[in-house]
Formats: sequence, C-alpha cells, structure tokens
Amino acid sequence: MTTILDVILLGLQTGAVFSLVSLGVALVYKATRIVNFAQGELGTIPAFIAYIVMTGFQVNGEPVTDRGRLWIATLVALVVGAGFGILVNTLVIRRLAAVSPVTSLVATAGVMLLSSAMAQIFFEPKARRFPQYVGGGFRFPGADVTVAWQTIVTLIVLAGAAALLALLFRTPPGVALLATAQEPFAAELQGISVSGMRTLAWGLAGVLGALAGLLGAGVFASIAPAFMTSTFLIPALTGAVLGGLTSMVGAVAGGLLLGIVVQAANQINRSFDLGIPGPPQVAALLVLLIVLLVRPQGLLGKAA
Amino acid sequence: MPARNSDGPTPVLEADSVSIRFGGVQALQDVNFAVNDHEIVGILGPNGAGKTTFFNCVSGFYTPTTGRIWISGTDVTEMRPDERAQLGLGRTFQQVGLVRSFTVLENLVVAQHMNIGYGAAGGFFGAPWTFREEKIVRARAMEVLDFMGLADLRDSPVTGLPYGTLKMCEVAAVMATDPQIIMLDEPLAGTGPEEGEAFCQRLKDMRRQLGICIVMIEHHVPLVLKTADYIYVLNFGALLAEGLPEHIRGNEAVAEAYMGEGAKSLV
Amino acid sequence: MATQEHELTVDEVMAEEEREAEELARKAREARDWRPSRQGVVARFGVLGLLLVVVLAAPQLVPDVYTNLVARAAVYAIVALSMNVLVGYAGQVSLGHSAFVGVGAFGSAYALTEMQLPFPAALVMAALTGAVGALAIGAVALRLKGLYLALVTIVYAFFAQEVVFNIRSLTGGGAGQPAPRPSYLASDLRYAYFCIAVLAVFLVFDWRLTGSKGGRAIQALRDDERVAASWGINVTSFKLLAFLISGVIAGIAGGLLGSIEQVAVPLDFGFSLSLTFLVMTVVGGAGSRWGVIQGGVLFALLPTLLERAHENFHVFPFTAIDATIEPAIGALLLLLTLIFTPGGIAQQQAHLLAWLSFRRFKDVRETTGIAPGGMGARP
Repeated sequence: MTTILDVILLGLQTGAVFSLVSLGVALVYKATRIVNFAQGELGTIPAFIAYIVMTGFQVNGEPVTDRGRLWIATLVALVVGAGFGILVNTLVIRRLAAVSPVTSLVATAGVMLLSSAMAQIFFEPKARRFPQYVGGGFRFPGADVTVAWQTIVTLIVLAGAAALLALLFRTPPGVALLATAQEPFAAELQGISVSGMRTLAWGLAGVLGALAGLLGAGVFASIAPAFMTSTFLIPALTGAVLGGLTSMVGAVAGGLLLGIVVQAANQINRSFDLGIPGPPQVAALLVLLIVLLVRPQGLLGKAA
Repeated sequence: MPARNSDGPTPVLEADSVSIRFGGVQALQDVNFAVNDHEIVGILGPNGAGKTTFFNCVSGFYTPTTGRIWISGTDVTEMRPDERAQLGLGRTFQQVGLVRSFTVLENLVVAQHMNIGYGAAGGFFGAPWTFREEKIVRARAMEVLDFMGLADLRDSPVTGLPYGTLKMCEVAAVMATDPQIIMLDEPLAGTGPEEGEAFCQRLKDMRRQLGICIVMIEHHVPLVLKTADYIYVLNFGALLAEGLPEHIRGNEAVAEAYMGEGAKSLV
Repeated sequence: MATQEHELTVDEVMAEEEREAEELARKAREARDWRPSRQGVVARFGVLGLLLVVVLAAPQLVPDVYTNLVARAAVYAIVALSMNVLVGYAGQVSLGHSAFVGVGAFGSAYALTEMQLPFPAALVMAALTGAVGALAIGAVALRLKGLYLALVTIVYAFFAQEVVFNIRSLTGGGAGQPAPRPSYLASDLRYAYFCIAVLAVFLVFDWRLTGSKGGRAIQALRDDERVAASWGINVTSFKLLAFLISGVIAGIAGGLLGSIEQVAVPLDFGFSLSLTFLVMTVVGGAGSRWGVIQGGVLFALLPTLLERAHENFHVFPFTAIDATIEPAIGALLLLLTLIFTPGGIAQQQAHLLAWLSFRRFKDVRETTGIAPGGMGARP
C-alpha cells in the first residue's frame, strides 16, 4: 500500500531533476529575460558527450564506469555544457534581428529543435545505458519505496547550486548580472559589459543544464536523443513558472513540488482507476495552466 | 475645489474629484477639471505632476480610485476607452500614437473605424456596399491629410518619418475620428519655436473651423499662455492653480513650482 | 555668441528634418505616380499568368504518387493563412495551432463516420470545432500577453495531444478515425483541386479581411492597443475575432487534412506539428500572405524534397541527407530567418513582390515578421 510518504519520496526523485532544469530556466530568465526552451538540450548534449567519453568514443558502445573515467567524463560534460550555452548566446541570441520576449522564445525553441534533430541523426533514436553516480538506495524509515542514493546526490547538488546562485545575486558580479537584465542600457553606461554578463549567464546555465543531464540520465539509467527535453522540459518550465521565473529558490521549490504533484496524480489515477491517459503530463500541464491563469508571477516571483 | 462653472452650459469634458493611487504613490488627488465648448484648455506642471496620468484616467486606460468623468453630460466613468472615443473623445500620446506597420493614409483609414457603417462580417465577405464605403473613407482621409499639409506622404510607411512629421500625422489621425474634443499630450515635444507657433495657430484654426475643443499638456509655457483660454496647473498630483492665462502668469506658487523658490512669475 | 551658435545648430537640425520630409514626400509622390511601361505590364501579366498556370496544372503534372502531396501543400498553405491572421496580423503568439487543426480534423472525421453527415457539413463541423477551440485560447489571451500567452498555447497543444486526442470515442484511439471523402472527390486529382480551390477562397477572404475595417482593426491591435482603443476599436472584441477567424480557417484545414489519407490519426496532431506550423509561418514571413503560403508549401514538401534529393543526386551532401534530416533543416531555416531576415521569405522576395504588384522593383513594402511588441509585450 503506497503511502503519502512514498508518494513524496518518489516525487522528490524526479522533482530533483525537474528542479535542476527549472533552476537553469530561472537563471537564464532572471539574467536575460528569455525563457530558454533549449535548457533541456543543454543537458542532453553534455550527457551524450559524457557517454562518448565513457565508451571510448563509440556511438553505441557500453560505457566504462570506473571512477576515473566517470569523473573525466563529468568534467568534460560540464565544460561542454558551458560551451554549448555560450555558443547559443553568441551564435543565436545575440544575433537576433528583432529582439522581444517572444522572438527569443521562438529562437530557443529553434535551438532545441535543431539540437534534438542533430542528436537523432548522429546518435540514432535509441536508448543507451548510462551509469548512476552512486548506485543502489536505502529504505527510508516508514516508507515502502527505496530511495536511490542518486536522488540524494541530486538533491545535494541542487541545494548547492541554488544556494550558490542565490548568493551570487547578492555579490557585485551578480548584481551586475541583474542590472544587465533589467536595464541593459543603464548597465552599459555604468561600465558593465552587457555581452560579458550575458555570456556568463548562459555559461552558468549550460553548466546547470549539464548537471541536470548527467544526473537526470541517472534517474532512469539511460539516455536517448532529446531525452532531457521530452521527459523534463515541460515539467521544468512548469516548476520554474510555479516558483516564479525570477526566483532561484522558487525554481527549486517549484520543481520539487511539481515532482510530488505529478507522482500524486499518478497514484490517484492508479488507485481510483480513473483511466486518464498520461497522468504525469496532464498533472504538470494543469498546474502550469492554473499558475498562469491565477498567479502568473508564481509563488515567489515578483509581479511583472 | 468646486467645478469651474457648475451653473453654466454643460461642459464638453468634466472631471470631478479624480484621484488615483499606484501602490504607495498618490498620483492624483481630487483633481477637478472642465472644458467648455470651443475652448482651448492648457494643462501645465512639472514632470511627474500627473498630467499624463490624468489623461489616462480621462481616456479610460486607468480607473481612478475616486471621482467621476463626464463627456457632454454623459457619465463615462464606467466606460471602456473605445466607448469614450465613440462619444467624441480624441487623444494623442507621448510616444506617437500611430500604427507603426501602416502607411500614413492607412493610419487615417483605420482611425475612421468608428465612422464606417458596415459590420466587420460584411467587410470580410466582400459585400458590394463595403467597397463604396471604403472609397468614401479613403477620400475623407485624403481631405484630412490635405488640411494638415501631409498629402504627399500618404503612402509613406510611418516608420521612416521624422518625429515632427509623425506628430502631425498623429493629429491628423485623431482629426479623422471626427472628435468633439481632442486631448494632446505634449504635441510640441521636439519642435522648434517656429513650428510650435505654426502648430498653435493651426490649433486655433481647427477650433474655429471645426468647432472642436482642445486640451493640451505642454511644457512650452509661453506658447500655452498665448494659445489657451483657460489653464490648469498640476503639481504632485494635485491642482496647484487654475485660471485665465494672465492670472497664471503672475501666480507665484506656479512660478515657484517651475523655477524654484523666489520666482515671482512664469514669463 | 555661444547662444547664437547653439540656435544656429537647432535651426540646422530643423532644416535638415524638413529637407528629409520633403525628400520622402517627393519619393512617395514618385512611387505613387509611376506607371509601368507597356512592356512592363505585359511582362508582369506574363509572369503572373505563368505562375497561375503552374499552380493549376500542378496536380495534373506531378506523378500520381505525389498528387496527395499537392493537396497537402495546399492545406498547409491554408493553415499558414490561419496562423498569419493570429501571429502576423493580430500579433498574438500561437504554439497551439496543432490543437486547432487537430480538433477540426477529428470534428470532421466524427461528423463523417459517427454522424454520417455529407462532406460540406463535416467541413462546417470542422470550422465550428476549430472556432470553439480557438475562442477558448482567445479568452485566455485577453488576460495574458506575450510570453505567458505562448506558454498557455503550449499547454493547450500538449493537452490536446495527451488528453483530447486520446479519447477513444471521439478520435478512434491509436488507429484513428476514418475520414472518408465523398464520391465526387474520390479521385486524388479532384481532391487536390478541391483543396487548391479552398485555398483560393481563403486567399480572397484574406484580401478582403485586410482591406476592410475588421482586418485593419485587428492589425492595429498588434502595435499598440491603447491607440486602437482611442480610435474607438473594441480591443476585446477584435482580439477574440482574430482568434475566431484563425480557428475557423485552421479547423477547416484540419478537416481537409484528415481526408487526404482519409483517416485522422491522433499521433499526427501532436505539439511538434505546432512547432512546424510556427516555423513555417516565421520562415515564410509573418504578416505577408504570399510569404506564409510559400512557407506552408515548402514545409509540406520538405520531407519529400529531401528524400528525392537523396535518391537522385548521388553527390555529397545529398548522399548524407534524407527525410530524417527534415526537422534539422526546418530548425536551421527558422534560426537563419530570425537572425538574418526576420521578415522571412516575403522579405527576401520583397522586390519581386513589389514588381508583381505593378509597382517598381525598388518600391518595397516592409513586412513585419513576428510582432516586436509595443504595449503588452512583456509578460
């Protein structure tokens, strides 16, 4: 008999990954006022690069997971993530002919489409095994389900990233970052390099995306082209909007909350045999819709 | 302060005790205002005094927290902006109020929306009478452009034109709506002294030929003192003074608001 | 002395502006008074005639296996027109058009199979369901703008994909709902011509839309709602009208789409279709009817074009690409458009379009691309 505690624990497992992606979305939004539709892909590509490093540069091999390889692959993935983020900014976002929130969204959607399409071409739409950083799990007292150690790792990384970012925005470089988002012209006049700040923001988002990809791959222990986008993007967007697009802590809270809500929906659908198709997605969509209609600025965001 | 002439003929535009609050800021406080037939009324005041906020309340873009607004005796306080426009209220905006993606002529054609008789559906399905009305509307647009001296620019897209010309086009568009009263928000911004004089002269011509009333927010104090029949001065959201131009000119409080302590008169 | 110098400069600026205005007026006058020469007229009519002949002959000329593709291209062009009304004219974002089209397709299919209605009635049903679907989003659009509206349309498309289109009784489950054509349209050739005819009807409708008060009001909303309201335009009504028109056209397109293969399958109407529709509208040039039509046709034909290129040109890069690369090409075209020519194909063809409109080659009309904003662009 699955209890509420079970639902919460299971929800935290996926919720943690949602939050990592939400954090990336919120970061990009807070720093550039753009909703980054490609945040999922900022995770898929580094995850695949890590995979390639671990398989000895084969597209379809078995990943070798000794500690050394794993850490090298992780490092490479983080660098690739940062690079990918910066590349998106330099090649696409900076060069948009007409800049508005909507064209930027469409542009990031275009990047997402291009990235997932290219991944499908190079890697074939096949799932591949991807190792977890820490295998196995433990029995949480009072619950039926085993909590994977990977989830704990993810939560720790999440907490660390969120704390760092929240701190960042209180330091001078972080404030400069915010200034460029809210008043780019004034920031430029103050001597802040707007393009430098944006590069920084996208680089950080890329690192976050890579972390999300590496850890998210561990949730199901597999990767496939565009897996981060297809599995996690919509819930992550929902989590970010729920928490408030401008709040780091909100993004984390929103993602975790959504993970639990989605799991609960799954459970309710099963227990009461409601027969609703795809309850997790439906739940996420409903939450997003309700938030947008009732309180668009989310739980912790500032009203626009 | 009581309304200007509570026992005279119905003012074309009247506002009574209009107040509005944004968050913690009292942007307008108990503003009373009236415009009578054929009048040119000026609104003066330093930046941030609440002049455009007042216009937005009259137009219907903001809902005042207290107060009522009448157009020709009809209480419009609950009405939408487009409903107030249909009662003859026209207005210009600080950032030029034109449709950027259209040409000058097209702007004047859209502006006549209220005066086009056929329903939208008739338009879509190409009913024959719509073509005739379209011709009439275009002809009228040309008339207004001729009157304003803009006829040559009719096919120019709005985006390429210089600022001064755009302000003229905006006034032309408002004229095309056939208003009873026009509210101009800083029409002389960016114009030099001669252009300003010419514009004010044209306002007087319009008033005479077309019988409309004009309300003008302006910073160009001497021109307003010369052109207006009556002036209101706003400061920090409240009416600082009102009266005939001569009285405002010599009003110490107004002078101090504009030019600091010790100023004795405006010009 | 210093003051006089300053005044001089101001005067110079004024004089410069006056010169500019006169120059513009002169150019505008010239453009207006110019008439093409006799050869020019003949040439233009010739090209227009040729284009018309090509379009009309296309269903006959292509090999039989591709006749349905012509119908598909026409239907995509109709969808493009529907997107254009919303995205191009009204400046609203729509990432949910797969829902409008899908709802129309299933509405029509349902009418044909479950309600046994004749084909025209089924198309009316498609129009109605499309309208209802669009008005639902329209109501939301009244309260949300820009970014948040985009998110809601995404939710809408996903919701349709996951929930609405999976309701077996309405959509026939995975196998789809049959959408048979009537006997007089049984041949692929006739159906293709029928779809082209419907496209022509909507083109005329679009022409009248932009030339009448309703269409102008809708476009005025895009740039600045306050200005439109100050001209007596009821912002709410005309915004909803834009959604209504877009929904009706999209619904009918859906009905036509379903009957190409004569079955409406839920998988075909997922969110990715919305992306395709948005991409083809942007690449075609939002705001230009001829641009978006070409965008629609291009994306309808793209998979086949790539496949054929792969088979027929045994030379790199064609050996490496086939239809699976289609999403990548589409995404690339989108990015290139957003970066280099935001007005899309219409912007690239601006000179040609000017010439064909009996103006001079250089008298280009500006196209807008996706609305840059104005009031209400920020979430």
